[in-house]
Amino acid sequence: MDENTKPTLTPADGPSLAERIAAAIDDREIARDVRLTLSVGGGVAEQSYRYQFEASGGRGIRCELECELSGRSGRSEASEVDHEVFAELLREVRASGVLTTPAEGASFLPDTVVGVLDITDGVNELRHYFAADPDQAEIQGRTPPRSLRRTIEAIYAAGAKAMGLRSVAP
Amino acid sequence: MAWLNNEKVQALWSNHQKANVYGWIDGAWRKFEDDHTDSCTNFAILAAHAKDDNRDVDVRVESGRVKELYVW
Repeated sequence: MDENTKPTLTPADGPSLAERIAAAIDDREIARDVRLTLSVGGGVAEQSYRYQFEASGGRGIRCELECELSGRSGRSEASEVDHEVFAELLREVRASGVLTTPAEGASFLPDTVVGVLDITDGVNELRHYFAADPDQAEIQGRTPPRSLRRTIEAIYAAGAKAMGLRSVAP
Repeated sequence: MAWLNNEKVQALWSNHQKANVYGWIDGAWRKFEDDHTDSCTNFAILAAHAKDDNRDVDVRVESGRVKELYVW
């Protein structure tokens, strides 16, 4: 007989990621635990692309871009949190449907510019891998679903605005 | 022999007791084999990676214990 203690809570006890995202839009305290992270990188050496974006209710927006092909670069680190900017991103995430979009596998051809989108509320987590370069995505038959593209574009726009660039997309 | 295929490890739990690790898989807590502390630890490591990377897992459960685990 197993005399060891068993877990008493279950994942179903707490709110879902979608519920937490919805609550975070209007509640700064809940928003502090919510984090959106987008990491995009890859390409051949002379045309390499790297974009890092992190937005959270507790730390604001931090982002960085290095694109060898276009010569674009930028960096931004928020000194304070703008809740309305973060809330707007969360509204886009909710409206896009990405929270209920099935995640696909992470297998890509070499030199593919690969993106990883992570959304967490501190308990629940969601991750999507995608081919970030539209041409590569089309060739590999891996064009991201519309919900994911919408979220990614919103994050690109937020990063571009923060860094004072016209565009950051690969 | 019961296989749970194409599932996710949604949560993990452990405490201070020996070989006492559970994974939330397919709507229930599944205890990892506790006959050997090594196997329990190994399952915990694989399950943690599966959870962290949102990987699909195939799990064989017998007599209330996880006996085999594939992480894809």
